[in-house]
Amino acid sequence: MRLWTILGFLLFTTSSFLMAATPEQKGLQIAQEARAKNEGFIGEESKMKMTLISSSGDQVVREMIGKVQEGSGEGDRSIMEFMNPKDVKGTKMLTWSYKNKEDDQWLYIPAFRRVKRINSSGKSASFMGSEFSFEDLGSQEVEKFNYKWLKDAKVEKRDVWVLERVSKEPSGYSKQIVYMDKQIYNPMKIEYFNMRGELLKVAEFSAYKQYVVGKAKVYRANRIHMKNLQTKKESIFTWDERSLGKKFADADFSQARLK
Amino acid sequence: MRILIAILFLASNSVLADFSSMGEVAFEYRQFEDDNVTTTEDRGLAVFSRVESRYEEDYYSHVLRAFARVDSEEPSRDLIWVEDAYAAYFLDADKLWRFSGGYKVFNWTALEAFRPADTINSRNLDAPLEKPEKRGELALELEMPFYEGALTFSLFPRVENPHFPGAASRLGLGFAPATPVWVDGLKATTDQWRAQYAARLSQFIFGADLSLHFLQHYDRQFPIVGTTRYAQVLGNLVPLNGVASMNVPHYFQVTQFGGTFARPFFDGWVLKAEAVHRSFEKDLDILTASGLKKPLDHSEAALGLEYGLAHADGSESTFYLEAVSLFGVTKEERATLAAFQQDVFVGFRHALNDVMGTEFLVSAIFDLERTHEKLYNIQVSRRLSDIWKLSGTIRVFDAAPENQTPVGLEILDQDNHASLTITRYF
Repeated sequence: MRLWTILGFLLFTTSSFLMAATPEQKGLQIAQEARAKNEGFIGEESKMKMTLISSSGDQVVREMIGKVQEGSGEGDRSIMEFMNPKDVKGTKMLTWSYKNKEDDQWLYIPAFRRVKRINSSGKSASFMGSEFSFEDLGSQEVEKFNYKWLKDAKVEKRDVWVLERVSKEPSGYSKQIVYMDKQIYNPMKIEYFNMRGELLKVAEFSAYKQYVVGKAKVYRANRIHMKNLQTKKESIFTWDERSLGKKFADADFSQARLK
Repeated sequence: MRILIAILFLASNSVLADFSSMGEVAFEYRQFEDDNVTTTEDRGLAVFSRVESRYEEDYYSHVLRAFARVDSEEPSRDLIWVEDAYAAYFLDADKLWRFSGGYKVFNWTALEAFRPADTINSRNLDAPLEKPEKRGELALELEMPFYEGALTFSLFPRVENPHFPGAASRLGLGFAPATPVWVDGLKATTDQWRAQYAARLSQFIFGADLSLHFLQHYDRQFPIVGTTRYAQVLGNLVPLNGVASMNVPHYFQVTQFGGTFARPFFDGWVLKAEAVHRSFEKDLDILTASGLKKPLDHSEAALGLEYGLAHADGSESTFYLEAVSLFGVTKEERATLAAFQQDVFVGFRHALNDVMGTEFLVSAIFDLERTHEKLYNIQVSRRLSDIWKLSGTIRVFDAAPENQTPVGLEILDQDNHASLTITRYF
């Protein structure tokens, strides 16, 4: 009797979210669980490299450095500074992301010593000429999407949940299909569909590494390979020298500190 | 200043690991439409460079930034300027209180074309309108937290002379201005050690960037060119040292208060505004080509809308609409104050967001009051590689003078020009 009780309890606690009533509820629960698993990183600092590959195979490299401060209650705050190409070196983008409203964004333009307020809604524009858009690399707050669980599947022999998510805000995509790893609660692959409903791009997430910050154990993909199926161009985003658990002052993410 | 720069430079090199630098060297060819005047130079061939170094560690940071230009065709464009040479130190662990001192370039603007609030630094008046070249101003500043932002107190102990186009410049007045003088009461002096101060409140409220400022300084935008050495002869005012002595720019003390505002709204829009009121100290009369003059108290306001649109191919377009107006003066007075007095700016920028960062900008400024004054501008820029960039500009001034003495944009009528710049970044 005791064994059955324990087994029943384990079954209930480990898969309670799988018993959601509808595919939408189940999808949302998985997304919320994934967020909870990835919380607690406090702050992150990294160097990033983006390799742009043309349809003929030519490659150019873009470099950035970034800082992220984990939000307490609200969304995260981040600063990305461009290092290469050299004409945009020193340009910084400050983002205050929110769960239930449009992000606030500022751009520091070093040539003019100017901090310019920008509207964050133009997310579908290409990020530095790559196959990534600002939307792909920006905050992925759970509250900004409607989720739906589609099925369970396998990606490269790993068990995944296949989720559909549709942005609640203006977006360059009609929907995204997320292949969420059941073990590390992070995406293995995301398929992006254009506004005509056609498959436009596929992002493959790899080089996952576990980071231990206090009691939290979070995973981060250190490589995202984005393939545009329509233009045949590709972009590979990689993270180097990534460290989590960094403590920043709130003021490090203020407009005044961009200069 | 040299000592300050030397100290900062040595400090930068003392810990090379935290030292970062960047810069550019550019070659610029500028060709004006022939004005059939032998004394003016229609061609410019310049090399300019800007270098910047930064050092930051814990609570201390400093910045060095300098600019230099040499023009083989028009030597009056030559200059070497320090833009930034300052050190800053945080006074608390939360990095909210900061003290800084040294030369600084300030940018208090919210708009793209019209910038009423952005008045602190002296400028190179031969620089492109869309890319003002500012000279660093010596400043001591204390920044402290205040509500949802910061309050900054600034002391400016010294003024820097602006750089004027030479007599041969197509963008100048047709003569070389003398050394500027700074008017203090009834005294006009070339002594640049002049006390000025400011307070500025920056806030982030309800999603808007809001700033308010109070500034007591020597104005740099509305000089009166003339002389204070004159006498009355047979009922006429005559310069004591001849007409040639009436080429002295006089800068007056002004009390300016105003603010800026910027807030995104709806999908893709940004609303921007700037407004200031300027009250001048006007004890001294200046004899100018059009008689005795004093600075004119006035207000200036500008309103702007920006709309950004991202396209399915990853490119993006931005539309600009801005308007500026000077208040508190007559139409005739307004025309003598500035090139843009009652104007509208319309602009369209398209960025392909391709690997080479190709961008196009088309813009125009129309005067709503002096409707014969128009300015058209086309710019194209594109990277040649990760370190080289090519940009071209065509600018057309259409503002035929209505009277013998041109005012406002009429001064630049037919100074149409094209420029090509190739820049090596490092």
